[in-house]
Amino acid sequence: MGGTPTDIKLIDENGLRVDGRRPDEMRPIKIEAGVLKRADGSAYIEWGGNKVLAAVYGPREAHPRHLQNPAKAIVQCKYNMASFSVGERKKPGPDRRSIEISKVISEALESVIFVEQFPRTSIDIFIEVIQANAGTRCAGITAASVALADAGIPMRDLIPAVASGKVAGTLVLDMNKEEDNYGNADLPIGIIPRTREIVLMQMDGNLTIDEFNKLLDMNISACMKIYELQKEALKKKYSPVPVETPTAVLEEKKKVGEEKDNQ
Amino acid sequence: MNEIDEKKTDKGGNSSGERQDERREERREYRRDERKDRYGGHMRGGYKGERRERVEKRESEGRDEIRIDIKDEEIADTETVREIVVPGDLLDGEELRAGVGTYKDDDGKIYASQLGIKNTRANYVNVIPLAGRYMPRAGDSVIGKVVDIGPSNWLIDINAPYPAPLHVSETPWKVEFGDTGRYLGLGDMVLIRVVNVDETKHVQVSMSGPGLRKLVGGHIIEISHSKVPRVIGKGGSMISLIKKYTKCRMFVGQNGRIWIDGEPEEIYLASRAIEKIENEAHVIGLTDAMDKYLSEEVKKIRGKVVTEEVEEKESEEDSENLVEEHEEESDESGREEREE
Repeated sequence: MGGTPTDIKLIDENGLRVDGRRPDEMRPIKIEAGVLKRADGSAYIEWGGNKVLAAVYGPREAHPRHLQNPAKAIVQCKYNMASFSVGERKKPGPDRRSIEISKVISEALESVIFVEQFPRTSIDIFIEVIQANAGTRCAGITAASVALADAGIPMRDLIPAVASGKVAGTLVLDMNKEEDNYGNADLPIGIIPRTREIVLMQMDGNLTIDEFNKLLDMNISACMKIYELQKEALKKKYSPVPVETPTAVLEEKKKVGEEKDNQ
Repeated sequence: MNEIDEKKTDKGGNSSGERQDERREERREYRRDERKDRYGGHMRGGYKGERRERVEKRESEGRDEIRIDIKDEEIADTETVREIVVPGDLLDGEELRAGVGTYKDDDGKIYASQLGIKNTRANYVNVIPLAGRYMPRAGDSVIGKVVDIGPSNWLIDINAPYPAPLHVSETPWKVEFGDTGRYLGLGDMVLIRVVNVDETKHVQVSMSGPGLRKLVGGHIIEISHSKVPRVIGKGGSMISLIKKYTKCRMFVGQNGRIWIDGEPEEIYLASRAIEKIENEAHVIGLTDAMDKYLSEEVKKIRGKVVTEEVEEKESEEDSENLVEEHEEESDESGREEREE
């Protein structure tokens, strides 16, 4: 990750990045809740070049039984990258990296779920990276917390997450693939927006304390924006809330039906 | 609600009758409340049977007229507007207490813990969940499926995160040790009641009690348990409507399983009706819409021979406005049939 030499000019004369963004600019994010019918809750996120699907099952009986905790639910997250998600085909199956990411995401999410309400159960989260372009763990945790809320699981708050880092000596927010590969450092964090508690933080590369603090501030303010998108996605699933009279509802239906027929 | 929970842990097994009464009362209130929330702010208390009149009035005379119509108590009740909240949303009102689907944080403020609809009742602020799994509660009548057989008990799947063991002593039969398989086999459906749920969520169920039995024949359909109050309707209005039209025997379990028995066409109609309710649970005036839907569908099944009850219902509602709606309704249902 950190500091592979390259010919690519990561920051140009105007201070813009390889994809034309300003250093403090995020990639476009699109979140959709409840995309899968069979899962108890689900979410899909498109974040720049990342495409990530999250599904939640449970709370359900934990298997094998020795994993059950009589005091609380266990949160089991499985982060997986599709073999076609990256340029060079990735060997399928869990590897060191995905096991680590699964663990940190499980722990981050467990900290917001009211696990003590569901003793002896497990809450299973599946994060599938369909297309990767740096920052998939952040996209994964962002989608997973929307999926958890969609599954009706009681939790303290949603968790937005974002990664920033240092590229060619400049501090940049939400790095893309090139910046991640040839940058100097990266710092993914996930927070509880209201209390600003940090529930996930990892770092790769070298940063001074000043740089670290600056990146942290950048990340937190970016997380607040992502948080709004998460809430919007959840509310969108249940709106527009029909407030019409029954007659109006029926007319609306008729129109929709006609459109269907025309198609 | 907290009071009841405390009682449960304090007293343990005794005074179950009393508790069940309370629970029933609570559930009734809950149901009523949910309706209030649903209609609140938009219908202005229009759920009390005069819905149609109110709607017509609104169309002809405008909103201000309707406001005058409301009784004081109804204003208080309908102040809550249907507002969707997500986990972490601040629910205002520090003088209020945290109800279901909420939590009080260290800062003393109340936040939503679940995705749902905000609702304020009495001193409590609640979130009525839009999703989530069924959690068994003492007093619930549920439909379960036998998934395992032991020498002196059966393991029942009640569509919850926890399987429920049904002991032979909790059945109406006298079962010899190891003879359990002769009474209930794998896959049998049973109508049981949740007797108790302890802190570690161990579920006790019983099949001895009025109406509790093994379900023989009929069909089982599954809906989301959060839609159960809508399928039952206010004071059982919706379910009795379906029963009346389809002549089916039905039972709705609190866990979202519904048992229907009757003529094949009528079972099919009843299950379509329930599916419609589940999909349109948010629609205002659903009971009336279902009334029309069912009367049309029943006519199709039985040809021109319509029962007296149905005819009566029709003449009651006869007005130009309604006839139009009937036509729309039949168009739609016709399309539905083709699709299926």
